[in-house]
Amino acid sequence: MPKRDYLAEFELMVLLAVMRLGEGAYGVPIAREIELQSGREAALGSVYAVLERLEEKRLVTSEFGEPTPQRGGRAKRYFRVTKKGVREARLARSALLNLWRGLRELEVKPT
Amino acid sequence: MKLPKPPRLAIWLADHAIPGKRNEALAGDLFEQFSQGRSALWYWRQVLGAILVGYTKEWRVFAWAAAMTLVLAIEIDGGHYWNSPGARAFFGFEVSPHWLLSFLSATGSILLRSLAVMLFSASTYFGLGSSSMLMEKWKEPGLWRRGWAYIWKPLAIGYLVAAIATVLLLAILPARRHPILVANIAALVPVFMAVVVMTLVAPPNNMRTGGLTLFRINPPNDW
Repeated sequence: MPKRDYLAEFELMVLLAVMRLGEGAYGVPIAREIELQSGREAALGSVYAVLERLEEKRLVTSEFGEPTPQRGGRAKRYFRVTKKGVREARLARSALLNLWRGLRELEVKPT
Repeated sequence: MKLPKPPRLAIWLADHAIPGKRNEALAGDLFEQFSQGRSALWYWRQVLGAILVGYTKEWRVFAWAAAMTLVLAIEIDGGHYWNSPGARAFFGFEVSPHWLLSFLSATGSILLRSLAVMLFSASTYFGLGSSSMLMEKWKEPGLWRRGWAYIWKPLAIGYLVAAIATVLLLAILPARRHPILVANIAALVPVFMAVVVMTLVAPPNNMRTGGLTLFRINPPNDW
């Protein structure tokens, strides 16, 4: 059986943020999406480090846009989730759901 | 309207000192956030954080280079160190009235030589990184697409070949008294190892996908 690269928590968050953003996924909105959805501050350096790791694992691909003056003449790097990335996210979801199922401590209490 | 500019040193560090693949994008993201009202302190924090994260990510290569360089540099100076009156006195081999001064001088000498090697490696790293960034700035779209961007590859390979040839030549070429200049090899090995490792690590942007992958380059998606 081929060895699988399991996703760490932050890797999964970044992968899901890229999926949620679709076409416009580059560093700034990815970090913002993670902050918005998880309440966790995401430094751009950490986001890029994870994105590069995901790209090495072939879970995302990237391509460069045009440089703009608002960015000091630097190009944006757009990320897109690959089929393998979608599969890995699905497997991670399924594993987490299996582990969560039946845990009374995590059941949502009616307010 | 004139856009606000982040601190110059921080921009330079963002462009040159963050290891990783094509960090132009990260530097651009930081610039964009700054122009949308983030503070200089935030910018500095992000740049320093990104440098730290980047180097931590590549710790295996850097740790190996640093350890190798230090070990070899210390090994070369080892004989000199252990035979110094200070070291002999300190470790109980010999007592001399000037043992403390001698011990400090021998220790300082080793540290300085090791630091010199590390400094040389770091300068090489930043020199190569900066030159590749400059080349990228000078690129023209047409030339870029035809592959001139990859001028870096032959340059880096040429540099490695020259480094290897220098060490081999200095080792093999006979001197008047000695058939092989062992001292030359010994003196050059730590520098050479550091340069080789730093050369492999140095090329930023699209030339690099990890620590030691200089010779396996994937062309851009739009080729």
